[in-house]
Amino acid sequence: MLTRRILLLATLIGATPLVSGASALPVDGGDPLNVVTTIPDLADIVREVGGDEVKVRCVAKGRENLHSVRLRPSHLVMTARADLFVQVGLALEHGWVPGLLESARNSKIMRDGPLNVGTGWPKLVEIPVTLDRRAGVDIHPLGNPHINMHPDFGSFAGRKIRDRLKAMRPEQAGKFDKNLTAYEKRIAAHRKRWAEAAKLLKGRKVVQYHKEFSYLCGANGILMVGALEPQPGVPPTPGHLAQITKGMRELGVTVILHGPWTPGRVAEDAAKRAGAKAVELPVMTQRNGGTWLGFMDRLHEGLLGAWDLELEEREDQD
Amino acid sequence: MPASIPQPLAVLTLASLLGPPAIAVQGNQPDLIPQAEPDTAPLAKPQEEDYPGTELPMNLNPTPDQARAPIGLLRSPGMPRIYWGQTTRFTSAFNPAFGIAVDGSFNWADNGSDEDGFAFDLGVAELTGQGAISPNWWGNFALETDSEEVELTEAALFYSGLADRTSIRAGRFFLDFGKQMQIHVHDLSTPQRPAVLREYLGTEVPGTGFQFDHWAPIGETTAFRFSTAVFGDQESHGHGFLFDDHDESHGPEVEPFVDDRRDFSELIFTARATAMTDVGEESMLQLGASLRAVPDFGFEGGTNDTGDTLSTDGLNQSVYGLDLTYGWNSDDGTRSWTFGGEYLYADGDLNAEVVGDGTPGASLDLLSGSAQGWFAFAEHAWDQQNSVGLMVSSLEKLEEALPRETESTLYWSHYPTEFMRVRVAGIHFDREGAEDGQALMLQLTGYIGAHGHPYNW
Repeated sequence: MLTRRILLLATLIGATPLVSGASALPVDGGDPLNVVTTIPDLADIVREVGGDEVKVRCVAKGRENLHSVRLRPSHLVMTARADLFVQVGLALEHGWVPGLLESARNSKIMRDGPLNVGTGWPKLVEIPVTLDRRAGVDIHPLGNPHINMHPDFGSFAGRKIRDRLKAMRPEQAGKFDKNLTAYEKRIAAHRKRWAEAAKLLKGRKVVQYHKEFSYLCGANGILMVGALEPQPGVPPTPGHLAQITKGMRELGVTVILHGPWTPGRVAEDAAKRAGAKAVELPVMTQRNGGTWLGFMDRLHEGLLGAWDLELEEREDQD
Repeated sequence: MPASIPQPLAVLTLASLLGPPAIAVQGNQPDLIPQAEPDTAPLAKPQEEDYPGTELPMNLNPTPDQARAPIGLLRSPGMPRIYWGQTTRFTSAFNPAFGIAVDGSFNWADNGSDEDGFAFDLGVAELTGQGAISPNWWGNFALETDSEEVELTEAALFYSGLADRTSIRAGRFFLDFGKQMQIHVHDLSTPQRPAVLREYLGTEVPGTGFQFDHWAPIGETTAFRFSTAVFGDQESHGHGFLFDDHDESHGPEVEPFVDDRRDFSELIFTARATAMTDVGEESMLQLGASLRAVPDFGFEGGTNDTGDTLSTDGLNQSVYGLDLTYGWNSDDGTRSWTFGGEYLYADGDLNAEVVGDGTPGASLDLLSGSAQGWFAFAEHAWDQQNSVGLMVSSLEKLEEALPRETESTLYWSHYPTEFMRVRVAGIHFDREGAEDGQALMLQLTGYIGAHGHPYNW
């Protein structure tokens, strides 16, 4: 019995290197760095900055609630093989990234830590005074983490990513600098259009379903008069909906913004009661071929469309 | 060490109670966020600093004031090493995360016994703590009570510094068998543990031992994991709401036991191998096989005419399991379908019944041989707050003649927030040679603070 037990244990434990060896992790400095990002926005920016020095994969697809992305086996595999894991941070992904990193048990990532591009973001809003579940479910101690919708995000994240890539591949520092410079030039071209949009949008009022458009609205001078969620992460209650739709009528709010993951029916019902329009906007870049610049363009077009506004004919920016 | 001069105890006690200064106390942004001017200017000053792995803008270095402590600041010869180093720093910045879970129900049951009717049950109140000890070590504990007894169901240390994707754990932790047995009952998506698992393994099965765990990628979309564990003991206990799995008509309850010390070959052994893979863009499939072998144990229960407890030992039992789970999620993550099931086969000395309890000829009648059973479930979540499911479990009861029992559970779970669950369930069971039973339950579960158990996929 003892022999059989030890034999079985030894067989299973001995199989470890064999199974692991079938998927050796890349360590060669000449290979592209394996980078995993939480959201497609970051994947796009890493590609822009890293160029052919990086191979990027992303977890979120582009329509999920960023606080609760569903993980799949491939996410575990890609994270286990990653040289660098990039997230927004600021507790945006804290519902699923810690579990992913702990399950993946990638010593490289655990040692160096993920790159949190949101660290040091200078324009945080909605920072809680106290940390208490009575204030809601999606409580972010550092402030609203949906910074990927702010026009500064591309450049801010790009610089963070460049610095980390330079630390990992010092011999390619010049290439990363050059890539970032080129990317920021393109960002600047898009920003001219966003600034034109902001002039039209300034002073308009919206209600959000979930407070995920605060940076987008703030950057465009749009007044956010409330949210359908009574507290962040808490589904709307009938009483709160009645109160907020009444307030919308009184204040003349004609637009409710909501993301793809929020119940559109609730937003549409509320909009109907308030004599307003429910407008679905993306909350991140789409994973398959989407770019952060394209995403920001879509956001601004969506905002303009909400009030039937249009910019003058645009030049091709990409 | 000049800094080690003791301070007045009262002041220090107060200081330790007050703890470190609050973090993140900054200006709040109300609902109405006026923006005087559109903020689309290019980033004025690049942020060059980066602090990988941490975001909290707090000072983790205790100031001299915070570091004051009434004991242990000077280690004299012979004193424990633990009083010498950083373990005596009384800042709360490194404290583990604590959580409380409360799970209870108002229910009605009719199973043909004297205990039919309505009841309020505290399923469990649980206190958990967890935290990192060092970059490679982690620990947790869980204390549970059903208001009658308090049990330490988890107290384990985990080490992950061996190699990538490998961990070991030692201490008290739940059996890694199938998809379910690692999971506490109050965390299950079903109202109670499937009947076949309750019968063949136990409602909850913590054990004291050692476990090795490793996973490996296969290709780009498949992960394979296995674990092997050795336990000195495993106790089956439960906070089941509705049905007592012990049938009094078969005499006094008989409990399994193991000796405190025995040969290594007689320790309890478990193993599990499982693989999960992506199926398309929105689905995944998981397969698993599990084993628990108990090579040396005994049963005890009932008494003879002199009041001595009846017992038998030198028994062995093995339980094998095969599980399959399929999950689908919509691309926005709000809707899902989950289908799963598990087949169990038990072999060896399965149970014992007391014959002639309290009489001179009292004995334990051993049930040996094999038995099998299964459970299957389907669950659909149509939004982030609501899901409905059906679970059916059918098994050969570990009683004489192995009567077949089938238990069906239909349940609706509502999550007002992710820290709360309200569940309504209807349960029906059908057993050969006995009255059918049914129950209704309204279950309420709340999680206060950080709720965490070291579940593995």
